Amino acid sequence: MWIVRWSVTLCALLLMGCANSDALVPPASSEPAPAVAANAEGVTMPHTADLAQTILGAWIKQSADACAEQYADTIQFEENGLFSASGGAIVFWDAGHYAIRAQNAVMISNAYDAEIVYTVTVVADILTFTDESGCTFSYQRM
Amino acid sequence: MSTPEVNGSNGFPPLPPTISNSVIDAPAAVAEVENMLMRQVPMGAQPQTDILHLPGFDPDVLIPRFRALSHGCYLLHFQPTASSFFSYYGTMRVERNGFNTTASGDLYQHNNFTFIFRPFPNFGIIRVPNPGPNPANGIPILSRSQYRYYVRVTQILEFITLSNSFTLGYELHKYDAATATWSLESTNSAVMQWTTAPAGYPLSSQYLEGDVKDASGAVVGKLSMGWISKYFRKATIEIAKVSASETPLNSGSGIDWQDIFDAVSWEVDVKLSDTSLSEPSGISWSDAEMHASMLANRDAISLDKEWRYYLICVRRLDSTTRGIMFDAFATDSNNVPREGAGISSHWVIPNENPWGLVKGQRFGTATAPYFRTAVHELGHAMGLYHNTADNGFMNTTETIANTGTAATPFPNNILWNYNSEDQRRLRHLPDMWVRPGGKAFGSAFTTAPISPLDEITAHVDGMELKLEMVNRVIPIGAPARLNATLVNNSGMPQPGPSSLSLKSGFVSGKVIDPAGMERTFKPLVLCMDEDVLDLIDDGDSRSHAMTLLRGAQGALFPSPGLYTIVVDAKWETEGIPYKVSSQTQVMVTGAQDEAHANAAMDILCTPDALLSLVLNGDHLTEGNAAIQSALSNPVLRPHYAYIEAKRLMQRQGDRKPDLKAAAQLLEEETIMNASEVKKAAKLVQAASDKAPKTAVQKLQKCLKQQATVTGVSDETKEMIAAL
Repeated sequence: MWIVRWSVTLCALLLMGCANSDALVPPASSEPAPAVAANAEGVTMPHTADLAQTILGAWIKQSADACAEQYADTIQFEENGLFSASGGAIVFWDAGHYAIRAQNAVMISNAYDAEIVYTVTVVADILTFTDESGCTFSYQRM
Repeated sequence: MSTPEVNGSNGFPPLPPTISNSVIDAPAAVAEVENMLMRQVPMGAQPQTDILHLPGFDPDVLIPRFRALSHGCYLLHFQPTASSFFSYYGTMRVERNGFNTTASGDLYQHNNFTFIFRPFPNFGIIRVPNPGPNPANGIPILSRSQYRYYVRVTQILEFITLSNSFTLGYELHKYDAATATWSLESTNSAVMQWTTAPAGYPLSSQYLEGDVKDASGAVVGKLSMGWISKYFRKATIEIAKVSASETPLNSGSGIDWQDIFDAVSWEVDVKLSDTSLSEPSGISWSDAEMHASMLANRDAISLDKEWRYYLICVRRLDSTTRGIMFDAFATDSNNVPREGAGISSHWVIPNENPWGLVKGQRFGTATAPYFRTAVHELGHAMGLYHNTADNGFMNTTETIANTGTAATPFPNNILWNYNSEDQRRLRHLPDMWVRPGGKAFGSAFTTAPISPLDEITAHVDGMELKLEMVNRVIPIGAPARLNATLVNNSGMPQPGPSSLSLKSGFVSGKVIDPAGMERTFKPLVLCMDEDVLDLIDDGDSRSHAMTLLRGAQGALFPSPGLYTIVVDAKWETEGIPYKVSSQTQVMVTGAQDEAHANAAMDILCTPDALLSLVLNGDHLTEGNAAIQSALSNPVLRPHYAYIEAKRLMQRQGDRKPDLKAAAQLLEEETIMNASEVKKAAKLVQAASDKAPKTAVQKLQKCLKQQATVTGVSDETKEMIAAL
């Protein structure tokens, strides 16, 4: 009898769980998950899947800082993980592959095949990179 | 085949028999002539007749003996007149390709003497001759510290000659070791004459000497060139590995290192060195670890005596997936760039598309792509960048894999050669660009001189291209405007381009900056028209004006200085290519103040400024913004006023032509060429019926004034008068 009561109770709980999962799992946030996350500076950054979409297309360099001189004047990211870049007196980015590593990080292969990870932010049509040396440079969507 | 009898009565051979209707096998005929030319010709011998065995011809044909240059490397020696203490040795690479010849060279300084001090009591200095490279030793490897010049050959014997000499024309580009850049120092020529070769040359019939003259015609030295090798360059590839890695020796389908480099005329010696390198910190290597291992384990060599590239095969790489040229810059521990590369044998190819036939395999067991990566990385060590023009060696593995198809899956779609442009670079870029330990990796190809590709074009005597700058002096940031006129003074009508507009496709050219760097320009837009050629009567001409701002390499006039503009008009008639060229100069002055500098920078740094100049679209916001920046600056405004006015005078979507705004832009100081005046007149004519009369009158007055200074046609003048 005790076993039957326990089983009925368990089944009831399970049924309640199916109807309302909140009863059996930690309560979710009362607000829906944001489409983007905010970093410490309050700059909105797209999630990894969004960054993979946002980064697609052609970009033209805006920065004129000396540290950014080695980066190509234009870069274009394709959906298949390939990119092409051109322009500038220094060849550092020319053609290769890229991969989104995190919601704010992208790996880009360089002209001698090193794979380098850059921190990125996208605000409106401005794509900003920060490289390993701390150089920050921006591109505008073409 | 029978031999024609010699007429013994007067010592002269009979005339050749009538040529039959047999079809001449041209390639075979060329090959036969080439074979004849490899025979030695005694010095001082008059051109002799020879018996030419032409396939399909009977009897044989008597023809005079020809001379030609042989494909390969010539030992080059230049002795300047100005000094006997030093001279220059180097190599000239002569590439023969059918009827065409492309050549380039490098020169290294050589001290002609060694000075020995004789001690007390016979105090003095003994001067001992210091011989140059021994031609019997083949391609010389000379010290990097002595590298001085790139020889950019602009004129050379193309095919064959009946003469004993030909004119060699070349530019000397001086190398600045401190900045690792070249600059044009002089343009020279020499009449090179075949003569007896000194001892040691493998082909005594291929030795020439000549006096070198500079652009003013003064003799500046003596040049000799003697053939020493069928290859252009020679190098050693040393391959070392950890025990678990495979050695990339071939493609798995019969293509090996020498096969690949035979195609670019490099002699390579592949040396297998260490096969059990110690792994310093686990299976994955950093760039620094590979570099340290190279220095510790590489065969003892001097890069001043040998071009040696080092390839290390390890299980995994820290900084990349498959391969890396770990020695790109001179910032590594020995400050010597482009000595080595590394590849990974234990990367596992993802088991998915687009990896085709090798998906899921360990990289070292995928023989074809593994070997390809090794060749690719050494291509970087030789100064090459990625090249996606085809599936050749310098394209990336991902790109090639992505272009595989069901019929030709990766790696069967690998192209087992360097792209034609990369082949040219490996043959003709300067030594310091390609040799290990030379110039650091990373400068754009446009910063290096390279001999032009040869093209056979015909020239019509009497056809001349004349160029005239609208302004011979322009401020930085301004476009260069010039008028081009093709004149026929040949005495008879000649077929030629119906238009010299850039849009016609017949005109292209290049701009040479003060440092000798060339930047090319071509039409941005081509208008396809069936009636592209017409007859130009004797005494008649075709004219058009062009506005030059940017080209394939960016801004054409990026800094102050004296520029040379070379314009080529090319067309084809009955399958024969014709070309007429001319050149002119323009002086670009520096920024007059900060405002001018900023406006110029906006123009020079905005690629779309060219689109705005050519296409005039309202949607070209970037380019239009740069134009506005130029308009707001009093120095540049006259050079861009017409460009903006042209945009305003045209309908753009819902926007109607605005002649009133255009009239406010065009002033007496506005700079226009004849074609722009004609175009403006047409636009005003098209929009005048709906525009304010005052605007039309102001534009007419401006265009009348422009017509007097630009030399427009009578038709244009009538059009302006009728506005």
